[in-house]
Amino acid sequence: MAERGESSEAVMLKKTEEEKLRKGKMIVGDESKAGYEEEGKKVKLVTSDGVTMEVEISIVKEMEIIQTFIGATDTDDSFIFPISNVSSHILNQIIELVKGEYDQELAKKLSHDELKEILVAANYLNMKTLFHFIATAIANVIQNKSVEFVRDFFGIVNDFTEEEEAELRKTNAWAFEGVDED
Amino acid sequence: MTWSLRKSTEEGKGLGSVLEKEQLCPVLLSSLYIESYAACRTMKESKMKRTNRRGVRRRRTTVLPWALIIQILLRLPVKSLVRFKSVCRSWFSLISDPNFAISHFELAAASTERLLLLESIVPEARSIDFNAPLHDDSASATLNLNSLQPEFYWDQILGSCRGFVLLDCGQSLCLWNPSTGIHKQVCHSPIAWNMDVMFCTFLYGFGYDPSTDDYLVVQASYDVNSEAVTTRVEFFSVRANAWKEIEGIHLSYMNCCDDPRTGSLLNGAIHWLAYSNDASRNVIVVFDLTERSFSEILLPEDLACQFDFCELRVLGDFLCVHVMGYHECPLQIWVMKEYKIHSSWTRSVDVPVDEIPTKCFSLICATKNGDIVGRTDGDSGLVKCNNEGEFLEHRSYYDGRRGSQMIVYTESLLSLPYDSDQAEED
Repeated sequence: MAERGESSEAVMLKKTEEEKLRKGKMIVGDESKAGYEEEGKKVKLVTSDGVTMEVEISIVKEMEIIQTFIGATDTDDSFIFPISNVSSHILNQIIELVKGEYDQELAKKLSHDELKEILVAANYLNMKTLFHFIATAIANVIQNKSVEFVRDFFGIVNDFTEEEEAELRKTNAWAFEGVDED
Repeated sequence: MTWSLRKSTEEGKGLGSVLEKEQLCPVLLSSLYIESYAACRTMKESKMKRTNRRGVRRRRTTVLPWALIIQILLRLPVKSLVRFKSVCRSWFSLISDPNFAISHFELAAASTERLLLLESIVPEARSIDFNAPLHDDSASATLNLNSLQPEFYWDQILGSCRGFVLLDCGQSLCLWNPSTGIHKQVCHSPIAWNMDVMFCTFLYGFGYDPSTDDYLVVQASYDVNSEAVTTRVEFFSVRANAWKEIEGIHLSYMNCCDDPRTGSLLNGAIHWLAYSNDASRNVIVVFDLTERSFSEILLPEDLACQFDFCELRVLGDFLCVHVMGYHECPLQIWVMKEYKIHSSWTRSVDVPVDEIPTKCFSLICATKNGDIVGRTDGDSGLVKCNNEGEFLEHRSYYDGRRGSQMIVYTESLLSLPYDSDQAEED
């Protein structure tokens, strides 16, 4: 991760109608012959909300789903990759986390929904380090929380009867000691 | 790859098939979990309308696919998982699944060591998170013993491995997972309980053999009336549910019968302190759980002490021998920095006992950040010192009572293996 310099700012380009048309062909102009491995090189990703973002190659390299595409074609930089399951907001968060070398302090600033959406995105993009990092961050958020907090966090409906739940709490009473306030 | 989870040794049904996939989180789920997840429905949007941290009205909550929820749960400590069995039925099924337990244990991201403190007279069991400050009340919890028999009591703790603790309960032995309550009675060895010959059992051990996915209870004994002290070794295989003697070993070790030693697990082997008759000195006896063979590790030459005051421990990943601290004599710790390399024995810190209330201190374990945890005799107390040997804190758990015992155990959700022809115990 050390090779990432400051030059790796992701440039956000509002998508024009023209680009939308080009996206259909998956190809845009400026067919540079520069090598794919080149330092500071960027790859264009189109997010679910229709934003084209230029993302530094070192970050894209962690996205195995895109690596598979690149590997299958010539080492050409002219492709635009649609990442239809990831919004520009979440992609920006991902870029920040990768550039921040997966600092747990950065994860603490994320909302619960952002954490969950980044996890879904990391799974979709097949970013293994990010996936482990975010899954661990979510585990850290919930580990000392109450059962009610966790139901709310994941949007789960309690399907136990009152008696069943009381019995479970009695059996496992030790695990209910020292739980944080919600 | 951290999430490349173990291939299930059981039939690849249910959760096993979800976890085995090479793909990060397969969308394909076994029917069992699709059904259980369907039962665990999302809340209605109206219920979810509330303000989030940023003060923005949230329209809905992001719903994670079941496979991703499993990945999060695999990274939680056992205590959280035991609590979250109450979230809903599908979580209960998942967390109770033996394949989930194996994956969780092997991912090891959330493995926590705790201290089990047993008070035999009451009887009462307490689980202590020794990595937290001792005076933090949430670091200690009273365990539920209702799952065990009502007349359950223990004489001695004999070992600990992968979340299970081996207890001597008088008429039988017992394997018990304090986190889940899962337990199994084990009959005593018919050899050591032979009434015609007086056998003295002087070594007890409990470990896991990964090559056969089996837990072994190991014990060594000798005939007290025989002139030639020949060590007999036998082990109980949990999978086979039977005792077996190890034949053809020619060992001659002994210890005081009233002071049987419990083994320390490290690198797939059980280690004990014992007196070698052949070498006429104390040594570390090593039993390899996979090879089922014995070897020896010599003690540091400069370690001079009475055997009674010496104990073997595992600190972090190192084997160590300590001499109990008592009044003027500080606790002495020797660490074997490279396993089985005799020249790597290093005298570590001395811990003075002046500030320790009972003036008596023996080593138990080390915390994640290197603090030393020991026990004081007489008050069932714990003491914590930093890695320089400076006193940090003391806490007494059972005032004025005696007979409590302690052992370190790794929290796990694991259950015990059993062969198909053997009925599973309740």
